[in-house]
Amino acid sequence: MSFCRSCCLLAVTALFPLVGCVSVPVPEDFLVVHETSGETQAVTSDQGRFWVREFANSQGADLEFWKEAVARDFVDNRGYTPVSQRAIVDAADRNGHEALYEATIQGIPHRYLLAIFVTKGWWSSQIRVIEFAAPVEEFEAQLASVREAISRLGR
Amino acid sequence: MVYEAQFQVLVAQTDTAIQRFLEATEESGGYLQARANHQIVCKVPAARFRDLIAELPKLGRVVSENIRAQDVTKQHFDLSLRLKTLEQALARLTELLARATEIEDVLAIEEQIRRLTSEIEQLRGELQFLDHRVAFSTVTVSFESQAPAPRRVRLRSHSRFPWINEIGLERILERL
Repeated sequence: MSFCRSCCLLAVTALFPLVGCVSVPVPEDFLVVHETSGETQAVTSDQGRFWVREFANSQGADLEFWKEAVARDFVDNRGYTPVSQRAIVDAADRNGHEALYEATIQGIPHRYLLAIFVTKGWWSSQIRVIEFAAPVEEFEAQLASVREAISRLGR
Repeated sequence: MVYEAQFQVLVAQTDTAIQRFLEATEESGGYLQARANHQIVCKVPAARFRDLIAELPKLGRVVSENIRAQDVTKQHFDLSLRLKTLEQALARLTELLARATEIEDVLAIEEQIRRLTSEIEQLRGELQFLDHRVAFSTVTVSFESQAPAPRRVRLRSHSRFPWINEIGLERILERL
């Protein structure tokens, strides 16, 4: 019994550093201000904001469904203006979707990037969401670096 | 069939949207026919008409659209028939001219030939114009720039999917 317990403890101890190694790549010039398992927040020295999160895909829907649901909510409910959209892949070759929007918040035109990936594990499915927001000029300046960071996700 | 379409599209940046639409037009084998401020008129091969207008929702929000299809088969048939008839008449007059001996007859036939030739040229021009209208559809797009403040509710105030309510521009600005 004691031997079994030791084996389990050893296995957990051996796996723990691997779990700890999973980190989210953050774009250049961004400072991580909050990081927990499955969530990372980073900001620039100005007004750029970068947020990576995961939500339970409890309905089990696929990427196409969520892509449409999000676009409908953003455009029809919130009045965002779509700028562009495209298919993307992460470092683990998972298919994702990137959409850019523009909206004026407190009189300042902002751009907003949303990238979503649907990941499926053995027991559950997750929706990984990456968001990047900034006033238009800063957004354009940081966009390439944000996209590069997103492409490194999932390594 | 002659296809003509008119769209009004709300975009974040009109110049960028117009540039991308013109690139899509050229990739479709089409060309810019006219531009006035943020309104452009493009011609696109009829076979690529639907592909091109499918690009518009990718550039912004299509707020109005008007697509017309006009059947010109009868018009084309009538013009072709008139042209054929006139060409046959011209051929007969040319034969007569070759056989005419009297000066008066020659002058009269030449006058008829001049009149017919002019009509034939006009009909050929109309046919070419009609063929071009069939081969190339017309797409008129008015791009309007507007980055509206987020509106609250049209059909519902929130998404029915809780996680979607947790994301978005307002959320990231509030929480970071």
